[in-house]
Formats: sequence, C-alpha cells, structure tokens
Amino acid sequence: MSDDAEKSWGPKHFIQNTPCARNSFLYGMGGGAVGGFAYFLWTSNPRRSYHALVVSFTATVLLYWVPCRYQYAQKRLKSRMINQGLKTHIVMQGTPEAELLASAQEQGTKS
Amino acid sequence: MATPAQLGLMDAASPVMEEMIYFHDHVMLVLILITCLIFYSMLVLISSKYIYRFLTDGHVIETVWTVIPAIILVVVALPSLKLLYLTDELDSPQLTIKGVGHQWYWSYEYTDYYDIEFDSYMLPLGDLNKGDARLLEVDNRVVLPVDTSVRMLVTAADVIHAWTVPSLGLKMDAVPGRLNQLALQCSRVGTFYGQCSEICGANHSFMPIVIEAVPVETFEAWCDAMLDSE
Repeated sequence: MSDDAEKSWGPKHFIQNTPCARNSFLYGMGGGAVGGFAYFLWTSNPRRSYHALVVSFTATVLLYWVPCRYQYAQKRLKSRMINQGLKTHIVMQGTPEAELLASAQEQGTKS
Repeated sequence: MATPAQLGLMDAASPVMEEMIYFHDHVMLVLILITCLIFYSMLVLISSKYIYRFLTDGHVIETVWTVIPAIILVVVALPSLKLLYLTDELDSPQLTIKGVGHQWYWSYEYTDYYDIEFDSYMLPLGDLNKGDARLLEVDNRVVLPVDTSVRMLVTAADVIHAWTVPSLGLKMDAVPGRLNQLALQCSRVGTFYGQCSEICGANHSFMPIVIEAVPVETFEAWCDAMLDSE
C-alpha cells in the first residue's frame, strides 16, 4: 500500500480518476468560455453573457460525457467478450468440439 | 482492502461492483453540475440589484424548476433501477455456500458436493503475521473459485448480523430464521475483506469476512485439504 494512495477526494478525485471526466470538464470550460464570449459579442450584455457561459459549460460537458461514456461502455463489453472467448478457447483446446469449430472456421474463411 | 483515509470506492472485483462504480460516476457528474449551477445561482442572486417587494409568483420559472429536476431524477433513477435488479440476478450458480453469523464469528458450509464446514474467527493482534491487516484477518478464509457464479445464503444463529464485502459490491443482512440470497462472482484472483455491518453486540467490530478467490485447481486442492483435516 502506497502512502500517496487516495490523497485526493471529492471533485478532484472524480476528475482525476474517472474515465471521460477530465476531458469533459476541459472541453466544458472551453466551450463555456467560447459560448459566453460569443454571446457577449452578439449582445454586449455582460450579465446574460455569464448566464450563457454557464449554460454552454453544462451543455458542453454533457455533450462530451454522454458519447464518451457510451463508447467506453462498448469497449468494456467488447473486452469482456474477448476475454470470455479466450477463456473458452483455452478450456476447449484439444477437445473434439474445438476441432469441429476450427474446421468450420477454416471452411468459412476459404469460402 | 481500503487504504488509510480512503474516501472513494474500492477497486471492483466483480461485474456488479464495476457497474456500481460506473453508476456512481454517472450520478457524481450530475451532482457536480447541479452544485455548479447552485453556486452560480447564489452569486447571481447576491449580486442582483433588482428589488420588488410584491413579487408573489412566476409561472414560467416555476414550471422550469419543476420540470428540469424531474428530468434529472428520471436520468438518475433509470440506471439505478437497472443496477438494482442486476444485483438480484442469479445466473445458474455453480456453487452454493451458506454463511451463518454468530456472536461473534462467521461459519461457512460448503455442502454441494462435500460436507465442508468451518468457523471463521478474527485473528487476534498477537497472532498476526508481518503485513497482515489488523482487525481484518481471519483464521479460516472463504475460498472461492474465480469466475464462478456462486450463490451465498446468509443467515444468523442469534442476533441480526450483516455479511459485507465492499470490493465485490455485496451486503446482506443475516437474520435469524431467514435465508437471504446473494449472487457472488469474483472476476479476478485476490483476497477481499469485509466487516460485519449490523450492530450485534460487544464484538460487532471484530468479526470480519475474508474471501480468497483462487483458480479452480487451487479451490479443488483446498477442498481436499479441508476434507482431510476433518
């Protein structure tokens, strides 16, 4: 056990250790700044520009987070399927069923 | 086990715990965004120069601050319910183990194929080896084969206890006269610790649970060794 383990907590821990979190918040801050500044250039209203900044920040975070987590979940599923396939392959190695499967795959590859 | 001053969740050792961590990430993002919005609202209200003593209602804003939280609740509740039902799924268990809570130790029975029964007492401080965890090590661990679906039946012999292993995402009350069922699957080899989670007397804090997930061959050898020792 390292003495430096688990020193961060709360939002810092979340952003450092959660997949997609760091990029979501970085893009969110950038998107919020761009959205707020663009609104200010359009309207010259500082108060509403801050509102636009917050809305842009929230929207950008969510727009990055949702697809990123979806892709992460898909990769997770694929990696589980590959692991399961490898384990099944190891267990079935040398059995008649494995030889039948290997010959069926070869025929499929040739055709 | 948890590292000193750990506040976050432990690394997952079962598929269900992995899903719990992902759900936790999802909810944590929602909470952080809501907190940011609240802080911003506080700043705006404090810095506002508008004063109107006779303001009594605002239909549009009231609709907005009712509908948006309802949507947020649905976004949180749907994956929560899915996870809740996932924890109850039991997919053709290959092994059934009975865990019985006593004052103040656990006893386990593996009666599917052989009759293996043993008690699991906490190791006192004087019996610990160098590197052992204080108040967590036991004399006889629960040994399980890795990547095997296990049904855990939990009950108690005297008062209510609770069988808990945080890194597997497991917690179930051990109630006298009742059998509670848990679906358990260790996805990696390792040693996983837990502690009794229902107040049960003077030594409630001193009846830990240790699960040792091992390869199937090692589990078979352990079964043979336990039968020989009996």
